[in-house]
Amino acid sequence: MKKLIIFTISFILWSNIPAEEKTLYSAYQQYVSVSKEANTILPLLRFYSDKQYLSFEQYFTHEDLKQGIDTLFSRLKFPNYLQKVILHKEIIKQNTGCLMVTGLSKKQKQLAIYVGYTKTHQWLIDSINVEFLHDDEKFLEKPICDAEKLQQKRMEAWIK
Amino acid sequence: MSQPSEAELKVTLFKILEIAYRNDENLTASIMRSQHPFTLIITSNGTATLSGKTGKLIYSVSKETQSIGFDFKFASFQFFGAQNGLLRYGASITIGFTSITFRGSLDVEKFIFECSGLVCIAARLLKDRKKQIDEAIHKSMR
Repeated sequence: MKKLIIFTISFILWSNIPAEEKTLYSAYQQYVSVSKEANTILPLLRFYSDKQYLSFEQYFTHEDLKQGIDTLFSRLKFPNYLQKVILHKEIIKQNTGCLMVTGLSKKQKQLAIYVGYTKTHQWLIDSINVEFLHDDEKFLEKPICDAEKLQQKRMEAWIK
Repeated sequence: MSQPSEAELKVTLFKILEIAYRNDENLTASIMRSQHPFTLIITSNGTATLSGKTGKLIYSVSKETQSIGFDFKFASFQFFGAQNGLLRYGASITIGFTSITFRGSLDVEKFIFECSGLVCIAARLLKDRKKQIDEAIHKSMR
């Protein structure tokens, strides 16, 4: 009986893990879906980490608030850069993760979006890097969310 | 520029280089034609620094950075010495909380000719100079 209770509790706890926490891509897809529907900035803010939220606050105090909010709103719709998704890869290390979504832009050019995530109660966006690939370049095998490391890796290949 | 495209960012970069050219034609040409790497750094206050082995040029590009958006933070362009007339570069731009990276190449002679030769001088005398320069930038961009 005791074992059955432990098993039941474990099962309930496991099944209560929200689906979006299971993969970064599902968290990203949820963000894409909300950003398509959103008419204001507010529904999107809950997808961002504290670090990013602090930078939003910095912009909210901008003297031209309306322009600031409109511009920020358009920036938050970064998934719009991708017209068509080709593939996605992710790496999770404890409470941080890096998702790479590759595809084509509206002009049918290769594009990759790298989204860094941090986990609290759910996966939250910590960094965004949009990469326009040159015709001679290929998508990376593994995602890199550190913008400097990404650029360094690309540049090494670019100048060869 | 709500969500800047790659083409828009490249045009902004070349406009910033063109301003360097207007500020100091000889120094800009010597930096760009040099076989050595050079950098172009632009900060949020609209200050551009073109720095290479032959010298350093600091100038204002606040109008161009404003066109990117009020949340423009930083841009870094690394150029590698011209080979066969082509200058390869890598760009990293931070706008708000998004970082944008891309690579490209620039036809140095075409760029310099368009901005110092007769075409550019004629363009400067014309009313629609902006259009002429934009066209020249597009021609030298790859």
